Amino acid sequence: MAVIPAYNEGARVRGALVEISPFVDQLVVVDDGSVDGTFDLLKNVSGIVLLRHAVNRGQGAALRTGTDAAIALGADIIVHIDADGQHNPADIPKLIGALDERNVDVVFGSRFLGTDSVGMPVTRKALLSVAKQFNAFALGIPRRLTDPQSGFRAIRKDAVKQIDFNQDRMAHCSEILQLVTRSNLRWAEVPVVVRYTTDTLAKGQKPADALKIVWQLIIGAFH
Amino acid sequence: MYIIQILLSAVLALALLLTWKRAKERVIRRREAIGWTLLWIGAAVIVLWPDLTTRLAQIVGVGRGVDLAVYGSMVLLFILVFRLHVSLDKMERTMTKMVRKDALRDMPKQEVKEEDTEQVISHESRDESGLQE
Repeated sequence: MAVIPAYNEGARVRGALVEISPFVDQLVVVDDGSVDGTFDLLKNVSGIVLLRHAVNRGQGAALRTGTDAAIALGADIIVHIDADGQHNPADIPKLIGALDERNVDVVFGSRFLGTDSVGMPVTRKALLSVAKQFNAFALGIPRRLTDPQSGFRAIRKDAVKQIDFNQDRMAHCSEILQLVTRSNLRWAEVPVVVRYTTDTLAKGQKPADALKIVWQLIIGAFH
Repeated sequence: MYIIQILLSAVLALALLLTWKRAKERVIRRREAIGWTLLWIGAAVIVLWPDLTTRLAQIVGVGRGVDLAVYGSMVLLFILVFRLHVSLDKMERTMTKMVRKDALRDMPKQEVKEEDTEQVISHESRDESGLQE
């Protein structure tokens, strides 16, 4: 079952769903309080479970809502994937397949295992390299994990119940990595291709967001 | 005693009274009230005996007493702002839980409705795109 958080993705979400649907049994889409009519665009589409946040709560929050829904719907494997088309759905079988092949509970997609991401800016690459060091020193995430901000992942049902992620916004990626790698869960990475376009780069994370993520993680540690 | 010392002492005495009034009214906890009391008394000591800060500053190695007071205030303000951020984050998370509960409440209904009307399509019966309207 795929969980897809969507915030103001009216222009892209339908295309993404069309691409994702052949690779999963069910789609759970969480409209995160969009104001561009994303919900209206999807409400008559059958074959998907459409949920709606009354107000925008952030990608992490939407992902958690979708994950809770997927558990309630009886999903065996949950795939987290973006609604903007950055992730290539053709990589989903690789993620799911690796769960059995490598006998693990969680599989992360990595942009740094030999595959070339399409259009990744140099600044993004540099920031991710800094993020990797931050993850290692501040969060204790092992350095052998190659992608420090992987948002494309497959998780077994039993494992997902152990991953109690609560970061509402962008810091959820690091939080999930920390929860998984510092628990008894078994994990692996597989190479995936991420496709950056002018649209997704304009809407996606900016270099300054790295500081926000660090701040959110610090504040989160004091709960 | 300078006028500024009298004024500041009066303000601090008022703050102390107000703190314990609120503690009695159970608006703030007793432990909190003790924390604030220590702060007001500390401030009053500095106001009434400013030379103390100079001696303290020399011990710490800062130099002037006023500098020590400014640095101390900055640290204190940072702690207070940080605590405020943590509280705000807790409130945000509570709000998220409410929004999530609301979103998930509609889910079973949606599923039943679609099954009843046979709108839920099986994977096999999907069109090429896998989606139907």
